[in-house]
Amino acid sequence: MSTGIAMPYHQRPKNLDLASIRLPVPALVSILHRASGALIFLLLPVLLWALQQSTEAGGYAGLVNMMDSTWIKPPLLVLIWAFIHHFLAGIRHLTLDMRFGLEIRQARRSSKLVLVAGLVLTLLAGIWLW
Amino acid sequence: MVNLPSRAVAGAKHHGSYEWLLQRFTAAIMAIYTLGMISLLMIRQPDGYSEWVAITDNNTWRFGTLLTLLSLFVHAWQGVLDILNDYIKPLALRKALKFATALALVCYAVWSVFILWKL
Amino acid sequence: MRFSIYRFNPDVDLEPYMQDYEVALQPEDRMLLDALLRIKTMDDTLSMRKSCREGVCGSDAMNINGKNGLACVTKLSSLSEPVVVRPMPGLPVVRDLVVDMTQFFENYNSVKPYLVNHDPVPETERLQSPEQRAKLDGLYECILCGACTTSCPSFWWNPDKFVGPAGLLQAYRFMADSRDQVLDERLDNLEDPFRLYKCHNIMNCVDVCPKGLSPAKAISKIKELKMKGLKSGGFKAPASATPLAGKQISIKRVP
Ligand code: HEM
Ligand code: HEM
Ligand code: SF4
Ligand code: FES
Repeated sequence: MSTGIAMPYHQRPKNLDLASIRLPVPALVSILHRASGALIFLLLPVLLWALQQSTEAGGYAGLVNMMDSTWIKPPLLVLIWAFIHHFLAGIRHLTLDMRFGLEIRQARRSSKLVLVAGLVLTLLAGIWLW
Repeated sequence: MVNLPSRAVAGAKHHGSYEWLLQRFTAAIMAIYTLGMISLLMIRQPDGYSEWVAITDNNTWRFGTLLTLLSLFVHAWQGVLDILNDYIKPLALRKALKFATALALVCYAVWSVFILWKL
Repeated sequence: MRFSIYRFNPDVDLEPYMQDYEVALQPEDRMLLDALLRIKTMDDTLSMRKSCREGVCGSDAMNINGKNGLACVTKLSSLSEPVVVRPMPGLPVVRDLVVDMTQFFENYNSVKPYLVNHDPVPETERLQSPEQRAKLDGLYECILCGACTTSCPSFWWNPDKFVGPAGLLQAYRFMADSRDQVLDERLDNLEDPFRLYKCHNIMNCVDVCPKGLSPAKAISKIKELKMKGLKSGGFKAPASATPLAGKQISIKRVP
């Protein structure tokens, strides 16, 4: 009776409960690389707008004003982190593509380095800006 | 000649190697520009509009920035395509989002020229 | 010892669920497979695949405390309780811990995982120098358990388009073989945005492989060969690029 084929193939469940699947640090860095890339892409119009503003005196002053307000700080820090993380993870990606650091131990170490360095550099950038 | 199984998905016009290389090439251009700009800002520490203009009001900066921005748009095109291919399964929606992405990026490219040359 | 095991019987269950077991292990139960078989003596409805019980047949790969591995070589002493045992991710579940590997083997088949050599068949073996043979180390040992491929997010989202780490490891195994004569065709065979290039260096494959192999390295070697080919004239899709034409499927999909 129990043949296991009573249910049509395409209706069978797949085990894709992501919370139950371990996420190693290299994989975390990878998905954050994707998320940060997507975030920067979505914010491109804002970035281009800011660049445009900066090219004339009035707009420049407006941007400087904005930088002093408190509300801008959290979103700007997220954006800065996104760029730094994407940049560092991207460089790591390119070195892997050139076949450096492909041993799993090195890859684990470099992924941790990218994760930590991204946060530290974001902090430093925040200190430098304000 | 063996008849190796052909590719499971795309039609003949779709490659993979060129796109892969382009993604890396544009990434390298952006990385160089980023490092260059950060060093420049660290050295010059522009304080105020006039110093910012001193950095940006020349054609070297304009063409460098334009090259980087164009690289960015090509790079983002490949990247967003990758993301859409992975997560958006309904074909019509995926095609619509790809079209919207392409349209946005082309607009950004035109806009970039206007911004840089204050047109 | 406490276990929490993924259960699903398509004849009676609408949805999969987790079932808890508390098992009194015997002194000879040292590997997870021993414990699962012990549980099976209490509850014979629990289904799983196994055969060699020594890590060479590749049939009992499953997701153990979140990480893919072979139950027969996973020490119970290394596992924290409750031990959560689930089927390999991303493949349709036939029942409990048994997944339908059809897609996995189709992808494997699609890289022609066998030697292609047009020379007349010699009377003795086709010989290799020790150096040529050494190039196959780290490639031939794969037991096709599927742990790597089913740990790869790129495979989860595109199982029918991305070959996956195990298939690509075997693709490279034949590219690296001094006796094989169709390197260019093998490279062309992977020329599209998905089959090879959906690999994003996530490296979950290397993380889980119970044989300690590195599909990631093999994949990056393939990409290196690809770039060399681009320099010398470029790659094209095979002339007969009709989707799925000529695909040899030896395993039929369960109806
Ligand atoms: C600073 C320089 C940058 C470097 C070095 C860089 C590097 C890379 C690399 C190497 C990849 C390929 C990843 C893969 O194949 O899995 C990539 C993907 C991507 N990049 Fe960048 N990138 C940079 C800037 C940007 C910017 C400014 C954006 C914003 C639009 C962006 C958006 C993306 C996206 C959306 C992806 C796809 C992510 C994925 O497929 O998971 N990148 N980047
Ligand atoms: C009438 C006598 C024999 C019969 C019917 C027999 C049958 C078999 C069978 C069915 C297998 C499994 C093959 C497989 O992997 O599918 C096997 C494996 C094996 N047999 Fe025998 N066998 C016989 C005699 C012997 C003798 C005399 C030896 C040693 C001196 C031997 C050594 C082995 C070994 C080492 C394997 C494992 C091979 C492997 O790893 O695949 N067998 N035998
Ligand atoms: S490479 Fe390793 S994990 Fe992947 S199928 Fe082969 S033995 Fe299993
Ligand atoms: S039972 Fe053969 S690999 Fe585990």
